[in-house]
Amino acid sequence: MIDRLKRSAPVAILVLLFTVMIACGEQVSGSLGCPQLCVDESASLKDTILTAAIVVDTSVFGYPSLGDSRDVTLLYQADTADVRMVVRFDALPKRYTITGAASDTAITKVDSAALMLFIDTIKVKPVTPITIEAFDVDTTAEDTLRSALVPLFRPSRLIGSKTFAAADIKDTIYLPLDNNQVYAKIRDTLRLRIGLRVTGSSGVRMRVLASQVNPRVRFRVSSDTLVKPDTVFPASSTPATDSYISTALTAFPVYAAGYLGQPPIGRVVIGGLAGARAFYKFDIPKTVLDSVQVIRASLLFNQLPARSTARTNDALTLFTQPVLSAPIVTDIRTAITFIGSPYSYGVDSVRLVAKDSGTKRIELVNLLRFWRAVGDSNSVRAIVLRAGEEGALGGEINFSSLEAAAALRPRLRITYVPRRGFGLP
Amino acid sequence: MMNYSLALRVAVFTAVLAPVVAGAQGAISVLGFGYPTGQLSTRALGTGGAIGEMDPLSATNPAVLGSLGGSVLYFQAEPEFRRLHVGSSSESATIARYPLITASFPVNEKLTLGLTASNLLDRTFETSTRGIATAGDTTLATSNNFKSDGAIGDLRFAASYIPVRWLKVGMGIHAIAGDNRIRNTQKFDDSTRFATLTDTATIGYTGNAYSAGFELLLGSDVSIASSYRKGGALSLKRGDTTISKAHVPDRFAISAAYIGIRGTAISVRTARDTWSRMQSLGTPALRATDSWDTSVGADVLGPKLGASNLQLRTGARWRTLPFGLATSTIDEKTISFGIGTFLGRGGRAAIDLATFRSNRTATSNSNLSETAWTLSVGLTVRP
Repeated sequence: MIDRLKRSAPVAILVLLFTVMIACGEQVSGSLGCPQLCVDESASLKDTILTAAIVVDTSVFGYPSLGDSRDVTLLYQADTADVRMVVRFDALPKRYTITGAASDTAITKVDSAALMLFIDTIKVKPVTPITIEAFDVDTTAEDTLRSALVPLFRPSRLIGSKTFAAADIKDTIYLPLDNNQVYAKIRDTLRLRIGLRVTGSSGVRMRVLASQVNPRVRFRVSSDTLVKPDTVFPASSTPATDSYISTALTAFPVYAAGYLGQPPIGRVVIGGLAGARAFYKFDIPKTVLDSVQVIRASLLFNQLPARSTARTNDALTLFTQPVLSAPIVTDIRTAITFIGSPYSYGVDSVRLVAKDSGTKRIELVNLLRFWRAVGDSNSVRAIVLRAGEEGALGGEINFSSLEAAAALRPRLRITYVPRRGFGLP
Repeated sequence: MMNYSLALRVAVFTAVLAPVVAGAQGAISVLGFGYPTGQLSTRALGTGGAIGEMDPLSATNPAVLGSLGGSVLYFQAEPEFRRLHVGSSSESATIARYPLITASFPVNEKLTLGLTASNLLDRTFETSTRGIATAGDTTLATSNNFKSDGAIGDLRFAASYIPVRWLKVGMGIHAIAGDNRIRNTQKFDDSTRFATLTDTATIGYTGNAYSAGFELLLGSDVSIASSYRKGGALSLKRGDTTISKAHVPDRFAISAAYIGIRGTAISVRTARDTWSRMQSLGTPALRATDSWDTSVGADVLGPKLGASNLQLRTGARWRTLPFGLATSTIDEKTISFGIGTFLGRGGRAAIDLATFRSNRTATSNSNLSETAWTLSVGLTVRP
């Protein structure tokens, strides 16, 4: 009997394998018979505008924060915008070594001194000639203050200047420095703190990279070509008690003009020289999030022309980032530090021009679905609007705020499908 | 013995875990609550269903379980290759079904118990269409997809008793259970502004029924068998909520066969199903029709295949499908062929194969029709 069963089993298995193969190759999808043979289960869409869904809106300034980025866009637009930069070289060498020599030698001269700058020509592409001026901005005063620094950009402190044609500004440029001035700093063991300013036609600008690559000072200490040029990298010795801040201050911007503070009542601003971010907090009725399926959620804004005249042609990419802090965090600036990536929450960016006006919208449907999933006990329902070119472009996007006339306030437009029974033949 | 056990386990495992699937809605055979597989074995289907009431492997007549003469495990697979015709266009589909599992356990020479799991109605389909939606002042093009997986199953516990050689009687109790897992997806062409709408639901079915039947041998030449299933309450639920209530369809069936030739049965069968008892289970648009299911066929002793005899089968079947279009019922005509033989000596395992060609037509819509080739494979083992 066992032999018989052994003979039977392979046949049985083959039959089963055959039927399983058929099942794997199954194709049950069809459309030819529709609509005669199909049930129309498409949903009826409802549309409404929630005018009270936003309960808080405000602008917060100063981004990117000190230390987050050392890249600076130098900008000159007469009295309306003037952004300068300071690069600190607080550790200058006093001696050099000739290759193969038994001992080093004191620096007694400086030749061919130049400031080497790395330029971002992708975000900001120069189109007109630019004059770059370098000033000695070392001072014993509180030299992170605009009021202390701006007066130091004066002719008596000029240590270098050169005009570059737009075509000559590529990824690296060399700005000649006064050899004697540099040598004097070395000789007297002083700090070399260079203030940079661009001038030229109105609106001229240039973006200097100082985060991933560093500006540097190069000079020769000998006419002997066997002696390699010396290179000095940025370093900041102050404040001596906080290494994070001192590192952040190796290169930082100075806003001589155009740094605007809080906007007037009725406006929320994003971007600009002041690096503004907009914070919006929502109070969406539970019935909206829990009882219906939201398929579109458009945050509607009334854009106003930028309040300043600086860089109004700039187009900014606005990113919508959800605030991830717990509701217990009530300080807005603190809450803004906990923001999620827009890409992780399926919120698309929008591109707006600073001078434009009219109704604009940001789609939030995926974020609303996320909020519904996580509930409101552990997560605040708020977003931050941030310019992708924060700190890089001077343009500022202005929206009407909750204090504006009712018709101009931000509002949430919802398209939804009520919960429904379906699927019965 | 190990190989045999393995084959058996594979069969049972596959039967339990494999998806019970049927044709796509969008085909005329799978409207309403789905396609009725008939609860017939491959052997019975080879005769067009004509011997259904005398066939112990089928899930219709509990009385004939005793004909198995011992413990039996039976598994059936049934792929279908279908083509829907709409005017001059056609669309094909491939469907796999596992519509029947039977197990019987003899208590003594007269009493046999059996457990049968079968598909009462298969409702697995997927349709894709284009549509238009309106959101406020915006008109949107959409791609709609509707999918249903699942079936209404019939789990029968039956007892067959043979009081005298010429009479078998039996009773069965049925648990009608199953679910349809449904997903409706609506994708908007403007996907940057509109998120995909996805609705999912599981519709559960719970009901019961009772059945009774007999088989009567008139001399040695004629067999008459009949069964009746009385449907009980049937409810449709979404989660814990009862959505609608109806009744399991009643069924009356009778077969008569000439068995005067050794190894041969020439048979006729008719059955009446009161599908309209399910009417209130669906929406008002549901059209459920009481239907007749009639067949003639023969199961004859064929040539020897090795050490075993080969059974040859053929039959024809006419029936109306339970669910139709708003203004039209669906008729199905089938011609079938089948063979069956024991595997090895001693009849410890047997295989039945059947293939049938079906034509389904809408009675008042000549533009719609459907043709299908179905292959049915039944595997019987006697542990």
